[in-house]
Amino acid sequence: MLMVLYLVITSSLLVIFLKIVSLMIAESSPLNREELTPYECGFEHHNVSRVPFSLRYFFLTLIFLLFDLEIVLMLFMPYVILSNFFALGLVLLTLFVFILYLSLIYEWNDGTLEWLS
Amino acid sequence: MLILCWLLHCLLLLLSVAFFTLFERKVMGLFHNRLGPNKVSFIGLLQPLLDAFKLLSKQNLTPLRSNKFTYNMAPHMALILALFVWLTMPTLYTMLSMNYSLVMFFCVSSIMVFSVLLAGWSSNSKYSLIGSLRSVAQSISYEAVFSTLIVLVMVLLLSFSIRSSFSMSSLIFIPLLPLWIICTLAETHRAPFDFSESESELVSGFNTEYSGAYFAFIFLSEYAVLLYSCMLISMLFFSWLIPFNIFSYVIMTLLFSFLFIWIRITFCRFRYDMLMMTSWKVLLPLVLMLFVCYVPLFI
Repeated sequence: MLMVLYLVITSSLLVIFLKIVSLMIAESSPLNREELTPYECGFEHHNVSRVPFSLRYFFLTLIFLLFDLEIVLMLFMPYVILSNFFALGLVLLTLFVFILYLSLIYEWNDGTLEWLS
Repeated sequence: MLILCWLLHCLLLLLSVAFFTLFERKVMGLFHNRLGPNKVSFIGLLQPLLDAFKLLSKQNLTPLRSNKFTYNMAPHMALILALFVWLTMPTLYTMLSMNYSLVMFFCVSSIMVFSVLLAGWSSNSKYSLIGSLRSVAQSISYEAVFSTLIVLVMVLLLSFSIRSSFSMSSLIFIPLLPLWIICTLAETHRAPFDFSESESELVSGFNTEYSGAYFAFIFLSEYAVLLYSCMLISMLFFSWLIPFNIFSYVIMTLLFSFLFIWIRITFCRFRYDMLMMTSWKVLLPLVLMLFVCYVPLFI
């Protein structure tokens, strides 16, 4: 486990090294104001451009969260199947997938999956 | 020793990504009936290296009113995570033997969404914000499908590592291949699912405000992940070819990277709501059905 940490630190040092190289060889002409403004065409940009996103988007992320949680519960299936509970594991797996399917159909019927409404 | 080995691995990986861009440009030139880059040195072979040098030597800008720390962190994060994914590659020399490499891939690829989100949100431009929101919605909905597929593969392998697929039994995965390719295309934001950087609507998507080294980092990370997915496909689905020819997995990786370029050239971009609908209403039920279809194989 510690080895993975060392390797990740190595690769991050490599990336930071690349950035330092670029800071050294990058051209540094005096900055003018136009270069620092966000990319726009034709008009002056003068306020924060973070728009609020739609509630639909939020719903979709919630559904994703639930689905991913349920999938993470299935992650231990190889161990269950390899253990003594082979048949029971398979039955439970099928049942679990069936429940997932039902929840998907429920969301579909509820209309949360529609992107346009 | 191991750290030096990994460093060499990273450098070669970055080099291969650079040459993959040359490959892509050449193949696109071939398809468009033109030559592609052919001026730099012999038939344009030095082009990617000089491109990288040029990108690194460009001015480093941080736009006004952006969140400076997040803006600077996101590209680093993208590239570090892309290199991190490659740790899970099973190699012939035992660099690091991972028993949970598929789970590792699963985790790291879901963290990668954050680098796109942070990059788009912090640069304070409408184009990048909308691009990042779109790409996050897309990766999220395809990740639900993709993670179910990965769990299905794990259940079939009865193990968590990519290495254990090295047998003839990987032939049974072949029906999953089309689904896997679609999910990979959506996860790596390639055409026809390239909504994070749809040039005709949003200038360059979430990386509109990035230039120079940071743009190079984002670009490298995307292509590194693409190459990794090609490698993963050839490892999981075509490892039964390895007994015939030891280099078959390299050849399959190259073939699949060619396939991704081919798809990029052939198909036009999806409509956005259709993309989301395909993921939730077609692919997810299909994957759950496949799950049930594969269960009788155990008995």
